[in-house]
Amino acid sequence: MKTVSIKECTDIPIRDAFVLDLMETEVNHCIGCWTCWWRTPGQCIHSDLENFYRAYVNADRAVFYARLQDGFVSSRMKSLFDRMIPLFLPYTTYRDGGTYHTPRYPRYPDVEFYFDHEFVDDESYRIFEDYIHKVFDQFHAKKISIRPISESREGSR
Amino acid sequence: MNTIVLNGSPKGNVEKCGSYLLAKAFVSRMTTPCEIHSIAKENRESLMDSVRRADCLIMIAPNYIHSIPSGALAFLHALPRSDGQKSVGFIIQSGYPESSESEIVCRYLKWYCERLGYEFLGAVSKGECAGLAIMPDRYKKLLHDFSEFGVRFDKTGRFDEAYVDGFAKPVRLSKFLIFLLNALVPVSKAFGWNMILKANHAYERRLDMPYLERAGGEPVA
Repeated sequence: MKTVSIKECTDIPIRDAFVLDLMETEVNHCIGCWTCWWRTPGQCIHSDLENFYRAYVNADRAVFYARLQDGFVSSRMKSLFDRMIPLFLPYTTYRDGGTYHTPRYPRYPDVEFYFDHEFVDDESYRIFEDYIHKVFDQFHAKKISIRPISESREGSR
Repeated sequence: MNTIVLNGSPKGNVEKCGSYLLAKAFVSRMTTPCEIHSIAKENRESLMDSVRRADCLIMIAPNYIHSIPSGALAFLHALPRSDGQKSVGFIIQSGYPESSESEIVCRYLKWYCERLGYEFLGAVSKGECAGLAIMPDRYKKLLHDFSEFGVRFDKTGRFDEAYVDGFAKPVRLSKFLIFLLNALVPVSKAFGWNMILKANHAYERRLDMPYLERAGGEPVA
């Protein structure tokens, strides 16, 4: 099983996976130019994520270890989400009351999203959980699980 | 009341930026001067000084992956706490027809800003704005409505609920709209993205999968 891992928590050992370490790699912000859709389809104007893109679209499983900020994804993680738009087509389809970008690739990995955060109330947890589901539903992940980092296979070792 | 508008788009305060066009419309008929600042293009510290001096912040940002862009999120997370005297409002514009694509982040903005001690004025979620910066002439009514929304804000210091609700329509796509929009996909492709792709000599490569590998790890040509 091919695994791609994205981590913001430095103490998690990850074996046999392509690892994008957001603590060491500063992801360029999306600049909203749409070059990846209308000039060089599928390719971002920035070249800093090419290895990650290759690993992600060929993986069976994507494991995120996120250090949240104020109950939400950090701007580092958000920068990665923003930069994942080249993996999808600009065309849209409509279902379930909403709009979805059409897949560019035949399949996308299942997502395990582990978070390192103590939520201060139920509402903030619901917002976070709804947001992660929304993102990876838009990114065509067939399975999405969201759990505290202590419940990860690697994190519990 | 000293209000500043914060443009959360990475494009900055330029005419090809939809958030900037909405911001300009919002302040255009205010009698109280209201500056539009760019989060992406201005010095963070001097911008934070403006934030500290302001009584009210209005952030106008595009929807990127169902939230605000990463740079705007970093700025939001750096906002100083308020002693309850400051207020904040948000305007999130997106290319999706329905406003529910920004619903979750609007909940977060309210939760977070109230936790910081700001009075939360509301969050406008406006869909169908993808063409705003490309074809602003087609958005004259929207820009007029935003200028009226700004006038009412200027007079009251509040977001007018009738405008907030109006901008949000449709919140979700009805079954009829889903049927209609799916039926119109070939037309919207032909006269939308495909025209732009052809103009950029990229139409033949529109479905490229540059990072797909065959079994064994070889890239697909």
